[in-house]
Amino acid sequence: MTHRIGVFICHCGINIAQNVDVEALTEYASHLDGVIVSKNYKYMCSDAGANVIKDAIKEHKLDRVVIASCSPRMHEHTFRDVVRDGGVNPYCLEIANIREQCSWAHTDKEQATEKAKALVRSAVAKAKLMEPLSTSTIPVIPEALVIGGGIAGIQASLDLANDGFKVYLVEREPTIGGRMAQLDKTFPTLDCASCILTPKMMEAANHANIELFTYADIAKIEGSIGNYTVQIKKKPRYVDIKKCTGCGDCAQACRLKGRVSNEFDLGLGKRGAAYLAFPQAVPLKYTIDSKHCLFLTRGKCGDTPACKEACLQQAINFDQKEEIITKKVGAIIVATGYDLLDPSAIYEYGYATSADVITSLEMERLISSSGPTKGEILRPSDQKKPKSITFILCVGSRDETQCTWCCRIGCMSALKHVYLLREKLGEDVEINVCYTDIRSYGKGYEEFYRKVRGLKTNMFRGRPSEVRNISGQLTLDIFDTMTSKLFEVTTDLVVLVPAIVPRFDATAFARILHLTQSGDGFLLEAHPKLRPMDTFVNGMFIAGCCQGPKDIQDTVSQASGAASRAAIILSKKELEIDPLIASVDEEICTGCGICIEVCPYDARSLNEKTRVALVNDALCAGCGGCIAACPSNASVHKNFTKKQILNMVDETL
Amino acid sequence: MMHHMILNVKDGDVSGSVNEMLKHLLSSAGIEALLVPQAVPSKKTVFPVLISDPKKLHADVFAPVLPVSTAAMVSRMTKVQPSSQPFGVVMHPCQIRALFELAKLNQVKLDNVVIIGVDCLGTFSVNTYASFPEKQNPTLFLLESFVKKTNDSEKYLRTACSVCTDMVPSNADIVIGLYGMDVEHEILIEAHTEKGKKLLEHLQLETGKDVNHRETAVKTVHEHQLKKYQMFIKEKSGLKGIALFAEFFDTCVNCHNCKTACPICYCRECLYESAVFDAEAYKFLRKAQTKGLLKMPQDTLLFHLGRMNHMILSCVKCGLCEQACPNNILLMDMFIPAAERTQKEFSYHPGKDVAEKIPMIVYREDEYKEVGEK
Repeated sequence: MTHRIGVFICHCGINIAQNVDVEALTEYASHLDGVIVSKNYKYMCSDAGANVIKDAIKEHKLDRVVIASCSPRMHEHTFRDVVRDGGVNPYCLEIANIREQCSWAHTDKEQATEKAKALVRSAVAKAKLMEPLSTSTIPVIPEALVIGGGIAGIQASLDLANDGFKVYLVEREPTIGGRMAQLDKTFPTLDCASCILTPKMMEAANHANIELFTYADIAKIEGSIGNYTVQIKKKPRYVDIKKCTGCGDCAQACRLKGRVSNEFDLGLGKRGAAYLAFPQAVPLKYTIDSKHCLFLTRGKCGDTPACKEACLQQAINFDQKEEIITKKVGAIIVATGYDLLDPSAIYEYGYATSADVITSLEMERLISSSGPTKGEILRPSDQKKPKSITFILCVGSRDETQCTWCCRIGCMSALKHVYLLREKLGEDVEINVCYTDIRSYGKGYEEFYRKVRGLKTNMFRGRPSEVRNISGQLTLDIFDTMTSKLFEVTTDLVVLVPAIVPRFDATAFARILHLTQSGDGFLLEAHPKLRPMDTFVNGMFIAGCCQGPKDIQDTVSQASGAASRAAIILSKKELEIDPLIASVDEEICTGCGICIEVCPYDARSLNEKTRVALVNDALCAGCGGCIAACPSNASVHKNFTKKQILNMVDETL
Repeated sequence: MMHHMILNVKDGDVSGSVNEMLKHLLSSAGIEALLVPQAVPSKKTVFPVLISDPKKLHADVFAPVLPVSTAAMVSRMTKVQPSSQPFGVVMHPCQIRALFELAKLNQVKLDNVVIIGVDCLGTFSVNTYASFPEKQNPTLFLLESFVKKTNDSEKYLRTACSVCTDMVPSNADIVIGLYGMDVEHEILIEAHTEKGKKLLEHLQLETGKDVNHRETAVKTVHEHQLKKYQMFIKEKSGLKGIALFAEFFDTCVNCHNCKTACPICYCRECLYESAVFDAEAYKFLRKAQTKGLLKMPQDTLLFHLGRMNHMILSCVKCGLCEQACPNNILLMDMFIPAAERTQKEFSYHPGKDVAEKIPMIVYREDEYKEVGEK
């Protein structure tokens, strides 16, 4: 059967037209075998351009459409809708990319035009073989999983819950709150972090639509958009959270009280084996640390465990076991946060060897009134007030040997610390800041920077070569590139502002979820500009620093954005599935099973009876892995068949 | 799991003694049938014959010829579903390797299959065997050459056999061993698996006899063959670049016999025989116009590249493709060095262990870093 093909060529303003002779191309296309009509227009993606296509479809009774324009990644969706409106099956559309692959890539107009002709020729060749496809639908479970209970996860959960969707919020620590809970104040407005975070934590915990799983991991995720099955692994906290009132008697009684390093204070403070991470923890339930607890590690803690004796509610339960809970959800938001680079990797700054070289997050805990020093600034080595404090910014950030990227919060957090330290310590204390560039790009940030500069702050533009520790005295050489002078600074306390890095287990976690990482290890968004919260797995979204470094403002915005993206799915009863996926030629398949093993989405299986491989349409992402792996032509990508592609190749050779 | 016995050879009739033992197995060991190499009536060759009646068993297990892949025959029998009844297969080591590759690809189900491997002394081409010039039965000639250590048989061996380094089927359930044995009097019968051991319990064979000299003999012949193999690789590795590749296949008539003979080529319909490559006349004409000429058929090289791409990691170097070529293209000259290199890249040993996964389905984070992202 011969098809009636229309070719539509876009000028893209001058983007295409300046390097490709669109008139000549239109004329050329009109003579190609099967082409009934060929037209060009200034902006094919505009309403008027869409009408050019729709009118031509009607007038010439077209059943296949070729559009020569920008990359299909840009406007394939737009044009599918246009041809559908025009009355042609949306999958009988082929796009020839004559912008990115042609006009933008070449300067010689004559040659670029020839190449554009070849691209159009090959698109027409494919169009002749394209099949009309129809979408199928799957039902949607109107519930969501949010992984990570930091500010991003809390915000996303609240938004979805307030939209009326059931949310399962999973946090691996015993409390939600995340990094923000460790902060004292937030830049540039100096809001108290707890004062703005705690109400949100409470709201999330008490919300009728949010079910909280703290001290829990994601064991397994199966399924696809609209219908994921999630296994949540609840770790035993050895405290019955239904009975625990959060009174703290167990922590008071614990024989290890004050002897276990407190991770919430980054080791600057101490706790017991029975503990609460911080006073505002949500849920306000104690946890027994199985790595340290005498009873759990040695099987003996006095005659009876002290905590058990102290607890009037009889909430302590050493028989608790790991528990797997299975939930079904329609969408997933990943908000797993970040780690800080361990600055001992940059050994010349002496983080591992000098007690008085600390990180900015440790400084945060020192400043915090609920921190280990109750907000007093005391050097770790001798608990004395420092007379000189030096900040080193970009520790590992913007550094080819460590992390090439900018941490985006280091400058502002250091400036905030300077401001708060001046407030606490007065004018007499010397404060030095060694910076690379001050990046104060946010709303009110530059104004804050100016304010801090005025606070007798010594600003050095440069990175110190090393921090020397000579019997407890810290000295560093800093070449200031603003004045071209070398300074020797002697100081009491050095604060390193380390790079923001992906979570230590980001790769393993990404694998559980089938998510992709960018080269830096952070989770990769589907498109940096147009789909920043989407991932390559349909129905999974990312928010906050798991995607890349960002401040609280951006994190919250992104979390709300991700929630809104998820709500688009959850609010539908049924979802359409893209038909551009794998299928199997049952006559040819011999059941070798290679496709099953190579599929990253668990979409392939084998019918043992017929010995033919199957495709789960809902799981298949159309990546084409199985098609490449299949030695015969049994695995077929719909509308990307070998025959179609060879036809295209034939036309270009 | 090693359990060895000695089969005493009666009157110097090596093949006959083994045949008697197989008869015994077939009639008393609870197996339904044996798939054995047995001469066709004209005696021009042997074929795998599935025998259920012990009276009809005249196996020639040492016959130096391999007209079709035994592994492919087992695939025919078991790929639809595993056999519910036990049967035995007498195989050359290369065919056991092929069998294991097919099992990994789900084209063979090994349930209820007892693999009886034969120490291989090499095979001749089908033509050589059929018109054997020495006016003697080729099997007797081969065994005599082995016993007398004359190397007389060497000049008749197929290339694949003359450089083969895996002549001992150590991955079989039962091994019929020749190397290191005084074969005019004794043959080694060795169980390598529990399955094999159970079967051998039905035979009243001599056990407990010392066969330490076998190990040394196997080692010696292996080292000897390895040297030949390495020399062959060195000699044939020069085939690089598309021009030499094209020249290599100059006489190929695109008959695809190599594909049909290959034990592992398992597709139901070969891509290169499908409608994918059908094209309209104007495309042929345009291609001719581009260069002024077009050699027909045009997809010969693509077929060989595709076949190599699909098969090279699983290639067990049996040489059946080369034997099948009507125009004597020396396929082993290309396939052995290519298989050696690619299999080494993935530290893969095709057919050695049925549990070793084929590289295509194994994900290793550290491999080919220079190709992917950092």
